Amino acid sequence: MTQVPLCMAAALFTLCVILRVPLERHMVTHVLVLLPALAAAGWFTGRAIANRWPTLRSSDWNAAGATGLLTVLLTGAFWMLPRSLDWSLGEPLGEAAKFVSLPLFLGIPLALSWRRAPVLVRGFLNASAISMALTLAWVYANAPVRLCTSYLTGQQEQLGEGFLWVSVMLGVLWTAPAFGLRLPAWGARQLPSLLPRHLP
Amino acid sequence: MTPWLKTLAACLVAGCAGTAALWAATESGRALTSEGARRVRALEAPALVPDVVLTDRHDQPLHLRRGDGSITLVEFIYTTCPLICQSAGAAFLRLQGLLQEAGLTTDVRLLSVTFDLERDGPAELEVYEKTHQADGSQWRIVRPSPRDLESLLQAFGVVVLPDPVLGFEHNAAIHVVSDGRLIGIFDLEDIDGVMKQIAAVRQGTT
Repeated sequence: MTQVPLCMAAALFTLCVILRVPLERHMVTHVLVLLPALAAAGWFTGRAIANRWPTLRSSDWNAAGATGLLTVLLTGAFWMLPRSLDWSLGEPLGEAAKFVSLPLFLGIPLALSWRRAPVLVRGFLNASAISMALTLAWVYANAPVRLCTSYLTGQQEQLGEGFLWVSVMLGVLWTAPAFGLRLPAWGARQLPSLLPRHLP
Repeated sequence: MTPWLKTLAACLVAGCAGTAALWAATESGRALTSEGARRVRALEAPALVPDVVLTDRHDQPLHLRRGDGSITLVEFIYTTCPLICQSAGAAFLRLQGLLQEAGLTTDVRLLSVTFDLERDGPAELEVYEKTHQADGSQWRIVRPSPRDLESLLQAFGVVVLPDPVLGFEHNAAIHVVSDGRLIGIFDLEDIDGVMKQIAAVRQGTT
């Protein structure tokens, strides 16, 4: 069971390395594709670690996932700074920091901590993530100045729009269960019937 | 130790490391953007600007650095710019007027430096000078040699991006240079801030 997440992690990370330059060319793909993909590579690594060393899942040093989630939040805050984006584009050290810290301090601790956190805390974090995405949408769409010197104003506005869609998607994804919809299962069941029948 | 004590200790370590990283990345909580950080650094640790030679539209050379205690205000422009460089020109026009009123015609000079070396030749510099009513002595429109352009922009922390519509986008600001050092960076609207820093520098030297 260790192999599958580990392969996913390796594949994602390799893709990030290969597609680094084209993804970083546009602010939207940099922030909404590359950064989440790096974190996801870490998340799969975390799953692999948890499968290989199950005791880590109940480590005394991470009761209720507190340590891990604190690390996730701080790392997230760091890479939310417009300055950090510029740093990663302008200096090799910044680029290295991005490729190391997002998997190591965001993806892995998230995978090892999320299920340990109380439901109330998880709900709070989900709600905060939605409102944070909305805030970022507003900030990037309306900022009177360029927040990253490495990107054009037009791309900044598009990123604001992108964050708006992210917040909508997260909102739908996370509130759907409250209405009795289990999205993945529902999607899997419904998708085939949504496709035109007469296609070969 | 109970799990909660261990977790508390681990949280403290993670919290301290994370806060330290955020503290460093925001110049002690004062800058969220690289532009903000550039301004904080100019005020706290003024860096030397390169000693480049700029030429005006008469091909007369002038040094960016001057050792006589005078102040140089620098703006980076390109003359075909439709928007922000026009307000940069307007800001310098106001400063030129205020400085002349204050009798500071020789102690403070204004330089509009173009970074569009392909398009901005002497004729274009002259057009910019005329449209913005630069007096041509205190305020001059100049261009660096192609060899110096990169190091000049880097020293000032100016990033120029090609833009399909506008030609370029760049972080426009008023840069205050005194004794060869970049000591202040101000918004184009912050004429008061520039005048205050000029007054402060002159009080320090006289």
